[in-house]
Amino acid sequence: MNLTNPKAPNHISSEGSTEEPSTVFNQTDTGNSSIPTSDTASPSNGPPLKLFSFRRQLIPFVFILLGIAALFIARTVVRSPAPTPATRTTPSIAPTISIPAPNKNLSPVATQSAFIAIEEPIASLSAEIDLFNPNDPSLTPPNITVPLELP
Amino acid sequence: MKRFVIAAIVILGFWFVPNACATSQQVHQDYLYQSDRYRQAMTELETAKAEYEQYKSLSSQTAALAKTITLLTQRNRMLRAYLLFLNEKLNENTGLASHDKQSYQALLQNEIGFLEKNTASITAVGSLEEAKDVSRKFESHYDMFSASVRQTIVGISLGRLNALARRYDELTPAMQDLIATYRDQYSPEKQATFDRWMIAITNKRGLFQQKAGEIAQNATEISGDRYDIDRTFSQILKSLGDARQFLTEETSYLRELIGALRYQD
Repeated sequence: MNLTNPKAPNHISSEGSTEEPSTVFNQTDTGNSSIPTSDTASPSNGPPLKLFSFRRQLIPFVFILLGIAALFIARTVVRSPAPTPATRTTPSIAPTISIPAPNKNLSPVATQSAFIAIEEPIASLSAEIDLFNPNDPSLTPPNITVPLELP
Repeated sequence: MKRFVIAAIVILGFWFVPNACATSQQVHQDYLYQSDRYRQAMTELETAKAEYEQYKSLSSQTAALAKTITLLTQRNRMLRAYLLFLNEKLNENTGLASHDKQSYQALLQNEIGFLEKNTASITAVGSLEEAKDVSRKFESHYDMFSASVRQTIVGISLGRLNALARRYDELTPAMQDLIATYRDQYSPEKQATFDRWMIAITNKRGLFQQKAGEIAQNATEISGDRYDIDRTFSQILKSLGDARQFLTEETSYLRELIGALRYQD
């Protein structure tokens, strides 16, 4: 019975081949190992064991996909209202103070025809005075060369 | 019958006023046309003069003489068109008294007569020397021509201001009647306000009248050489601006009075 040091590096046997250290015991040629290793499949549990492991790996992916689909549906169906754009207010340099207009009572004269008859001529007269130009360009005398330098 | 006569006058007035304005516009257009021809004649004379001074040939001298005659004739035509334009403006003016209008028109007629005589002497020109003599006669008279023209311009402007002031004279009594009729419906303080505004309006009217008298007086003193004429004319233009300012302030006082009358408080 050969016992090799499990901690030793690749043990080179007398035959020249490298062997990886086993976990506890090596399986001898006589075949006295009673503990089966994990990577040895027993012929009696083949196909059912493979299907069960595939399902177990698939289930998390399914749940992930369902969650993504649910998020997508929730986003498209239930849309949050678009935020209203904030109104841009220009800051005023001087604070405006609103003074309520005093209540003024119209006098009975304001509705009289004599009063209305005066109001309009005053406005038109004011406009005509504003248009008056003391130096009317249309009246400007012609510009002539005096004295005339004749040949 | 009376209403028919008034209606006929109004209708004829509406017909004549546009025609009068059209007449002054037509004369103005003729003046502008003559001005363009004068500038063209001046350009052609400059070219002919340069050629004559360069070559001193008989043909260049003949060409220069022809261009000189054209220029002298065109200058008189342009000035005559301008005087006719001023005359039409005087005819349209409603703010001048008839004797003032006639005195300004007499000035213009005097100058038109001089231009016609000068144009007649141009037709007899046969040489460049004779052309220079004719031009010198015009130039010796030009200061008097400038003074007459500027007096007329001042008269026209003053007439316009007087026409505006006359409209105030029609509105002010109507305003006084309005205040007198409804005065008792206002508080004593408001009545005092009305009185103050009316006093201010009357004062402004008096200042305008005083300024208008100064302008009319100064206009008769436009004389002397070209520089004196221009200086006096500039001062009178400033006085016209002051008179206009008085009317503007009078208008603002009237508007304030209207505002005070509009409300009870």
